[in-house]
Parts: sequence; structure tokens; C-alpha cells
Amino acid sequence: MAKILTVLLILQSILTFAQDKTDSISTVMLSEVTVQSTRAEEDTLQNFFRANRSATLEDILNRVPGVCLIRRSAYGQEPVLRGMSGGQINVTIDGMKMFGACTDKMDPVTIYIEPQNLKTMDVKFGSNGAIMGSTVGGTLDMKLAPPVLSPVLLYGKAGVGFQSAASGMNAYSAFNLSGNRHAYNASVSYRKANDYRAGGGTIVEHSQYEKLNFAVGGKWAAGQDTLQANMLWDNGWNIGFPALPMDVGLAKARMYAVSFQRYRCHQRLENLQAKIYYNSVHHTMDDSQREDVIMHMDMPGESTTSGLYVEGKFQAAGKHTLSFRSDFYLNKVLAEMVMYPDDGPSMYMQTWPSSDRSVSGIYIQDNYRISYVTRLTLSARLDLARTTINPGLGRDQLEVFYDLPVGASYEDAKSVNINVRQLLSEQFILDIHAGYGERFPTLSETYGYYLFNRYDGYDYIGNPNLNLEKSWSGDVTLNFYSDRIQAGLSGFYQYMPDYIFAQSAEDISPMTPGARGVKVYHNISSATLAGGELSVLARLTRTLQVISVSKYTWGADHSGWPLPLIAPLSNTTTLQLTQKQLTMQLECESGTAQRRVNESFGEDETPAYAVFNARLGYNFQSTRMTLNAGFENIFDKAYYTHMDWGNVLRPGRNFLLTLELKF
Amino acid sequence: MKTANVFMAELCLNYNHMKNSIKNIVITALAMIALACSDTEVTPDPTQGLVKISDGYALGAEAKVEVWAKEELFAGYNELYIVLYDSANGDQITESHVHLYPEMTMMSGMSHSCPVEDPINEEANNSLFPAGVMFSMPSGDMGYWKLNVRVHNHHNGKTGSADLDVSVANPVTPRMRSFVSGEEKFYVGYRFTGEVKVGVNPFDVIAFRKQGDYYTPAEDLAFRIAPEMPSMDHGSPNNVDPVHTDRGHYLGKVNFTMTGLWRVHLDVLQDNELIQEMSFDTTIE
Repeated sequence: MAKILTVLLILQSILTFAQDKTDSISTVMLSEVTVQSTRAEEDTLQNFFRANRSATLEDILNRVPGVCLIRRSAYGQEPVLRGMSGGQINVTIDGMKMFGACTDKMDPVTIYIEPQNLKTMDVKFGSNGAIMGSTVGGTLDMKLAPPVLSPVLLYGKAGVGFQSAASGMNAYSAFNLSGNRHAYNASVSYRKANDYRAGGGTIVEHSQYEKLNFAVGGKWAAGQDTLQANMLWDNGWNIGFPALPMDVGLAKARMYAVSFQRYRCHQRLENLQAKIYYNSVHHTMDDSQREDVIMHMDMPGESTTSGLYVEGKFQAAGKHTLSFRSDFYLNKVLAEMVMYPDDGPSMYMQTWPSSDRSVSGIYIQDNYRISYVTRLTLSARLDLARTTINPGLGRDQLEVFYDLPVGASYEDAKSVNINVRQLLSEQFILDIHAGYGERFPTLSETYGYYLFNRYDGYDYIGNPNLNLEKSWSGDVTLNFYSDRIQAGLSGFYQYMPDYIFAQSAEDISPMTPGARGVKVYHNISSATLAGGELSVLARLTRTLQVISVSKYTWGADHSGWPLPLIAPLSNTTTLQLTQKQLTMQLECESGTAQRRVNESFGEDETPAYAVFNARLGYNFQSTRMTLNAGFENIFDKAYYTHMDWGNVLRPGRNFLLTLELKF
Repeated sequence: MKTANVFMAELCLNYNHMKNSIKNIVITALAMIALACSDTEVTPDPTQGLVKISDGYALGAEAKVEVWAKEELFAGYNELYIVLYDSANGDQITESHVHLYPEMTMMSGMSHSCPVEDPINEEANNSLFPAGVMFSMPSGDMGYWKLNVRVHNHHNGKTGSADLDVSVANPVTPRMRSFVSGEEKFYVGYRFTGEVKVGVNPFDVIAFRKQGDYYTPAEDLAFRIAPEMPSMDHGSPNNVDPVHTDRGHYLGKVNFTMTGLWRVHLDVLQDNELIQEMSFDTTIE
């Protein structure tokens, strides 16, 4: 069996190389040994959009069907899955839970991953994302590039890039070192950007950033067993947030994981994987770079997560294949705020009181192959959470608002999903999903303390008495495959009882100078989300391809008011020409106007936009060098999307140049 | 063979050594348990954590009087603890009537007293007779305070009093206020009953009115409380206005949402009319 595995791995790396060479506008190919049709489609899209070698993870994410980004700055954008974000979705790294340490959501954990670290991204929507934890909105799992056992002792790449709008540069390098039974990889990536120039010529102040990312991995194989260890360090500093009143001095993430895999452990059990991990995020916000500040303040935050999981698959018994995952994690957070008045002593409070949450869960999935054309997948998850607010100042201050229970509080969350995959004909596959999911309120929604939201100008206060948010979701996807065209059309509907939403509390005065009031999280009776995506990949000629991704989400609360931060209909269409060593792309990113806005959240209507980009890649085969050039926002359009906080303009005309060398 | 013997001997030695170690551990453990037990039997000193203010002899009552307080005396409401000893044998006196008569002698030669709460019970509570005195002004250039403690010693049925010199400090932030409303003069003191911290703080307002030369608890007042952070221009929510509980004491809650300098506004009302506005600053660390 080990031989087969090794062969597969070798095959994979050869494939990787083969694919790498054929397409000069794509980096490492993101295909796994076992490829499902939907996965293949996603991978194709992901690879296609990795065209721009200076692309951040966010650039790639933004082009995935059903995924949008909330933008607060040039860096640190927050993923949104079909209108849901934050605690409504799971964002995991190789199955590991990780939580940002910023009370203002400036550090969704996606920012700590560079495209160089990444092998593939797996997105599941709605309660279907329950494999990684109880959820209502889905799961975004980022799989890190593992060391590859390869016949080649050493291979890798190094590149350097420049972009004009922010006078920014990036440099990266990654390599893989392999022996017979062990392999190691490492990558390093550095980015620096200054304040960028928006369309029309205005300089967006406080939009600079700088970061360094470093990852190493090791893999040791013996017989049926594989031991793998990973470490990732990411430091970002001097990160400006033009849409917020504060910037980030330091955002520091550390990840460590050791996993053990046994291909066949028992007659019945296979692919058993156990992983133990620890990660920490340290995040400091301050306004020392800002002028006209009423009072200077520092806001450091810390979040650590340790956990483990075991997953595996039972050998098919008849038409059933059972797989499972059992996981546990413990997340500890503390966020503080120190204010320095001109006269008088400094003031201190805990914006996230020191608190812990541990969650133990079990997930079971039965894959029932009813017939050659029909497959039924049933899955269920049960999570038990133990939440504690630790004694001390943080607890004392929250007692001003609530009678807090002594000791821990316990909650359980359940989810059940049913998926049917029906092969309609050789070219059509129909996927139907229906499911129920619950999610725990986040620690921020539970214990958050005067968290200022620049968007609506309110201080937010948590509510320890929140109920679980629930979701009944259904979605249908019709996939079409032919020699020339791959297309997918999805529609979804989601009814969410006990939707967690902050409502204004008139009787509480705000803390932040200049704030409009205070909002407290409540369960509103329900919210509804609906929408869909259409993706088309067409091979027009042997050299010409077109990819078009459209997405739309509609959201309203129980009384019909639009939910905030819902993107309007948006589309990205790319035309790609591949001529031997030359690849050319012409791209249009567009969005319709958003008139369904939530005014109490501070939203206003967003106009429609369309932006054109052109990219060019050239492979110097003799020197194994690739040159990438990009010309983004060609017409220097001054624009922003509905998901951009504070209507901060996006970068204007931007010239990109990247040179990459493979070795 | 010889080697084997040596080996056996070493083994024995080791065994003995081990046995000794175990014995030592057991003895130490037993000693610790014994110590722990004896510790719990010792009654803690009732004045632990208190400051001794003054002492003297109530001669007629054959008693030694000690006055203790939570901190050095200040102008405002002071919790006092009187401890009495038999002056002959030094035994504690646990049953007695205790009355306090504070008196300020002014430089002008005039003198006056201040509001007092005598111990309620004749029986000491954990050897202490708790009392309260609201000193209406600090001692200093204006005059000096004496605290007369009268003791009716139930152990021997005798009565006597001790005249103690006490020094009353002027606190950095005022802790009481006297004011005139209509025909009446009121004395209002306030204090946090626990350590002041971020969060919810039980708050005690003590009110007296002066009638002739006497001070009686003012039980017909109402209070409104509003903390404020002067440098931030915000207050705190869910404060509880002090409500009368007993003998002129009004209990409420003051909430501080963060550390720093706070100003607590306290309005005094009588028959729903505002008769006095007061405020004091406190720094939460």
C-alpha cells in the first residue's frame, strides 16, 4: 500500500510539474490525488485566477464563486460566504481552528496565509460546512502546501514583483527538498506597499502595509505511516486601515502542527489522520500615526487556539461508506484598550474580557451510493461548547450589564445535512443539498465590550444570553461538462431563525468619543438569504479561453429590512489567450449598484462599476524564467464596491511586474 | 560469587536507603498534616487588617479601651471598632455597653460634636464592638478632636470612660459634606463598602440631620447617582440609586466601566426636590 501511496505522490508531483510548464500564467497546480469533479472545477478557477503572481490570497478568494470580501484596507480583508462572515463561517487552516485577535475584525485568519503557503482552498456553503465545526454559513478550509516526496532532490522558485499604485514590491521563494522517505519544504514571502493611489489620482492615506511570511514543513514516511510537521510564522506591521480610526502596529501569527497519517490501520479503517496543533495571534492596534485624534489609544489583542482532531474513513460496506471526524479545540482570547487623556491617569479596559471557549465535536458522514447515477450523502455533527469568562477586571466590568453565571456555561450545537448527487446525463450533474445547522455566538458577540464600529458609529456590547443562531438551508447546483464548456449554476435559500444582530440600546451612553450610541447583540426572530452563482469556463478555440463568474446574494431580516454588507450582483469575466510561451488575459470586474442598504448600519447606496485589467505572461523556457506583467484598472476608474468600508476608493491604474525563476 | 555478594549488599543498601526515604516522606507528610490542622485551630486576630487609632483606660470600668479603624481617621464617615480588655488581667471584655462622644474643640474655644453610630449590640462581634463616626471636619489649625468612649462593663457592672486624642485627616477627595436646606442642617457621608474596582461597586450613603445639639439619622432623603468620566465625556450604565436601608444608611451601586479618573455625581433629594448637588472624584486603578 505504501508503494501505491508513494507512486501517487510521485505522480502528483510530476503532474504538478507538467501542468506548471504548460501554462505560464499559473503557479503551482492545486490538484489533489483524489479529485472530485467539483473540486476540479474549483481548482481550475483558483489556478486561473492565480495568474497574477503578486496576487494576495484575497485576490484569489475574491474570484471564487460565492465568496466576497469585506474590505477595510488594502490588506486584511474578511471573507464572506454567500452573505455570511465572521462567526457564521468556519475559516480553517488545514482543518485547524484559528481565530483572529482583533476586536474590529482587522485580522481574519486568511491574512496570515500567503499564496506560497497554499495548496488548495475548499469552500462549502451553509450548514454543509459542518465537517470543520458547527456552522450556519459554511467553511473555508485553506490547505497548506505539504512537503512533497519527489524523485527530484530539490526544486523551487523565487520571484520578485513590483506594483505602481502603491509603489509596492513583493519577493518570494519556495523550495522542496526530497529524499526517499522524507521531504522538507520552506517558503518565504515579503510584501511592502505604501499608500496607494486611487482611481482619479487621490492618495488613500493610511493604506500602507508591510509583511513577512515564513513557513517550513517536514514529512517522514515509513510503511503505511506518514508523520508531518508544519510551522508558519507571519508578521505584518505598519498596516494602515483607511476605513478605520486606527492602524495596526503589529499582527503576528504563529502556527505549529504535527500530524500522523496511517493509510490502513485496520481491516475496516483507512486514511486515519490525527493532528495536534497550536496557534497564536497577537495583534496591536494604535492611532499613533493619526492626526486630529481626540485621545490616543492602544488596543492589543491576543488569541491562542490549541486543538486536535482525528479523522478517518471506514471501508465501504456494501453501498455505504462511513467517514468520521472528531475534534477538540480551546480558544483563549484577551483584548485590551488603553487610552491616554491629556491630563489625568490612563484608562484601561478589556474589550474582549479574558475568556476561554473549548469545543468538542463529532462529525459522521455516510456516503450512500444508491446507484451508478445517484449518490446520497448524509452527515451530522454535534458540538459541545464550554465557555468561561475568567475572574478579573474583564468579568467585573461586564457585570455592570449582566448577572454572569459562576463558572462555565455549556451549549450544544447540532447540524444535519443531506446531499444528493444525480448524474442526469453524461453532461449534466445535479447536486441538491438541504440542511440544518447551528452556530455558537462568538466570544465577541458574547462578551465584547464597547467595540467601536466605524461603519455605523456605534459601540458594540456583547450579550452572554444569546441563543444559538440557526439555519435551514437548501441549494441546488447544476453542473454541465463538455469538451469545450464547463459550467455551474447554483441557487440557494437560507432561512435563519435567531439571527444574531446588534440593535441600538438607547439607555446606554457610548464610550468612544464621538460615537453615535451603543448597540447590543440580540437574536432577531429571523433573517433570510438567497442568491446564486453562475460560472462558465469555455474553450473558444485551442488557444482562447473565457472564464466568467457571477454571484448574487439577497438578504433581509424578518421585517424585510436589507441585511448589511451584502454584495450586489457582481461578475468577473476573463478572456485568456495562450500562444506557446505567451499568455494574455483581458479581464473585466464589474458590479451592479446596491440599493438595498441597511441605513442603521451606516450603509449608503453604492453605484455600479466596471474595471478592466490586462495581464501578460511569458515563459523564457531556456532560462526557466517567467515574466508577468499586469495593467489593472486600465481606465483609472475611481470606484469602490458595496463591501468596501467607508466607501474608501480602490486602487487606480496599477502597473504590475513580476519576474519568477524556477530551479 | 564475591561479585554477586557485593551486588546483593549494594541492593540491600539501596533498599535500606529507599526505606529511609519513604519513612522521611511519611514523617514529613504527617508533620505537614499536623501543622495544617493546628493552623486551623488558631483563631485569627480580630483586628487583623485594621489600624490602631488610639488606646486608653476607662478607669471606672476597669477596662482598657482600644480604638481600631480600617484606615487612619479622616473627615467623613469612619467605621470604628472598639476592643475592650479587663485592665487587671488583660482578658477581653465581650459584653458591654459602649457609647462614643467625639468632640471638636475649636481654637475659638467653642466646641461641637458630630454624627455617631454607637455599637448596636452589647455583645461583641468577634471581640469587636463596631461603631461609626462621621467626623465633620479635619483636625488641624482649626481645632482638635477628642473621642470619649464610655464603657458600661457588663463583666463587673461598672461604668467609666476614656478620653482619647484622635487625629482626623483631611482627605484628598472630600468624603462627606454638610449643608443647610431650609431650616435643617444635613451631614452626608459616602463610601464604597468594598475595594473600589472596575465593575459594580456597592455604595453606601450615610445621612444625618442636626437637631439642636443632637445628630439623628436622616431617613427621609432620596439620592440620585451618576458617575462620569470627565476626560471621556461619558458615564456608565445601570447604576443603582441609593435606597434607605437602616439608620440613615442608603445602599446603591456605582458602576465603573474602565480604569481612570471618575467623577461621581450625587444629588440629594427631599420630598422629590433637589436640595443639594455633590460630586467627588475617584481614580480606579
